[in-house]
Amino acid sequence: MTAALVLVVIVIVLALVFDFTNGFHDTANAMATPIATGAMTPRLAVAVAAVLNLVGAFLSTEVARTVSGGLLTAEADGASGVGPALILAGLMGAILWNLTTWYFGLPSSSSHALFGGLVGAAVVGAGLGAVDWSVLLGKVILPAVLAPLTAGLVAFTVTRLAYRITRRADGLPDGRRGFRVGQIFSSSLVALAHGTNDAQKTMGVITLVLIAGGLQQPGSGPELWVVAACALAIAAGTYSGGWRIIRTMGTGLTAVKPAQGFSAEVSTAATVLASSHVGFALSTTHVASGSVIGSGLGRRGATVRWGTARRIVSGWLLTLPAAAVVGALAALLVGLGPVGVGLVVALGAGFMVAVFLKARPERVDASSLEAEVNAAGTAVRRPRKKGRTR
Amino acid sequence: MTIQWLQFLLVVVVALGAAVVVVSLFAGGIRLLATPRDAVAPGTPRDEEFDDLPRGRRPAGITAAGVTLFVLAGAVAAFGVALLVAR
Repeated sequence: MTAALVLVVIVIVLALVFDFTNGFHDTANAMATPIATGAMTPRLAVAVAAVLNLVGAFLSTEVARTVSGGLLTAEADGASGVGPALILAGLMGAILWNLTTWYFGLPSSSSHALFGGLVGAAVVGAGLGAVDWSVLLGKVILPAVLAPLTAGLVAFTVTRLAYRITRRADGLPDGRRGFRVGQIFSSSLVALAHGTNDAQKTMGVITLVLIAGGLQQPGSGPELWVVAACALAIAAGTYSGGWRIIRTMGTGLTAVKPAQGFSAEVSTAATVLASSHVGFALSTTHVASGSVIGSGLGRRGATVRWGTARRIVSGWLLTLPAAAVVGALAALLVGLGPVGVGLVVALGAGFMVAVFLKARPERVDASSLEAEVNAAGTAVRRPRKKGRTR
Repeated sequence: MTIQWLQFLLVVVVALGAAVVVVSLFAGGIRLLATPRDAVAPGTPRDEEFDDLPRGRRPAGITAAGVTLFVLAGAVAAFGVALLVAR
C-alpha cells in the first residue's frame, strides 16, 4: 500500500466516524417528541429512526454531489486543488470543533463544522482558488440562513391551520391528542429527511478524497459502496445515540403539544426533503429549531424571546468560521509533509480520547441531549392560560 | 458567481405547499373523528340519570370521511417523498 492510499483510507475511516457521531447526535431531533408524548416506545422509535436514516441515505445523492463535485476543486482536476492530506486536515478541524462544542454544550451544527473545516484547510493549503465560492454561498451559506426561516414560516402557517381546523366552539373535546398518532409518521419523515441530507455530506467527503487520490473520475457521483457505508454508519450512530436517550429519559423535556409537534415535524421534513432535492447542504438541527420556533409562534398569543433566539443564532454563525480556523491550523501542520500528517492524526486522536474520558457520558441528562432543538423552543414566550376550559 | 435564486423559491413553495396539504388533511381527519360518539350529557358520569340520557352517535359516514382524510394525508406525504427522490 502506498502512502497516498493509506491517507485515503484514514480519511475514509475518519469520515465514517464523523457520520456515526452525526447520527448519534441527531437522533433526538427526530425522535424526542414521539417518545416524550408516548406515541412510540423508545425501543421502537430508535429502531424506526435508524432504519429510515438508512433508507434516506440511499434516496438522493444531490447533496453528496454538492460536496464532492462543486465546493472544492480536487487535486486531480487542476494544479491548485486539494489533496487527501488537506481533506484530512479539514475533517480533523470539523471533528475537533464538534467535540469541543459538544463538550462545552454550545449549540453547533455538524454540517457547518464540516464545511468550515474543509474550506479553512483548502484555503490555507491550496489557496483561494481551490474553493468554489459561488457553490459555498449558494448551496451552503444562503441555505443555512434561508432554510430555518423557511421552516419557521411553514411551521407557523401549518400550526395555525392545525389549531384552526381542530378548534371547536361547543366546548367538547377537540381530539387534538390524535396528533400523537400523527407524530409517529411525521417524526419518521424527519428521520428519513435526515438521511437524505446528513449522510450525504460524508458521502461527498469520501467521494472527494477518492477523486483527489486519483481513484475516481472527477465529476462522478458517489460509488454504491460509499453510499452503503455512510448509510450504515449514520444508522448505527442513530441507533446507539437513541439508547443513550432511553437511559436518560424522564427528565426535562420541553412540553410540546402533539398538534404543535406534528406541525413542526411536517415542516422540518418538507423543508429538508425539498432542500436535499436541489442539493442544498443544510443543518437538520437548524431547520428543526426554525420549525420549533415557528410552530411556537403559531399558537395564539405567543411572542419571541429575542435575546434567547439571538444567542442560539450567534452560536450557529460562529461554527463555520471557527471550524475553518481549526481546519486551517491542521492544514498548516499537514503542509509539513508526512510528519505533519502523522502529527495531525495523533493530536486529533489524543484530543478525542481526552474529551471522551473527561465527558463521562453517565452524567449526560436528557436536557443536554435535546438542548439544541428545545433551546429554540424557549425562544418563544407563551401567555399563561387563565381559566382554561376544554 | 451564479446563485440559483429560483431553487430557493422552489424550496419555499414546495415545502409550504406540501406541509399545508398534509397538515390540513390530517387535522381535518382529527376534526371529523372528534365528532362526539357519545354526546357529553349535562351532569357527571356518576349521576344515575346519565345512563338514561340519549347518546349522540357519530354517523358512519363521518368516521369514513375522517379515516379517508388520514389515508390521503399519508398518500400525499408518500407521493411527495417519491417525487422529490426521483430525478
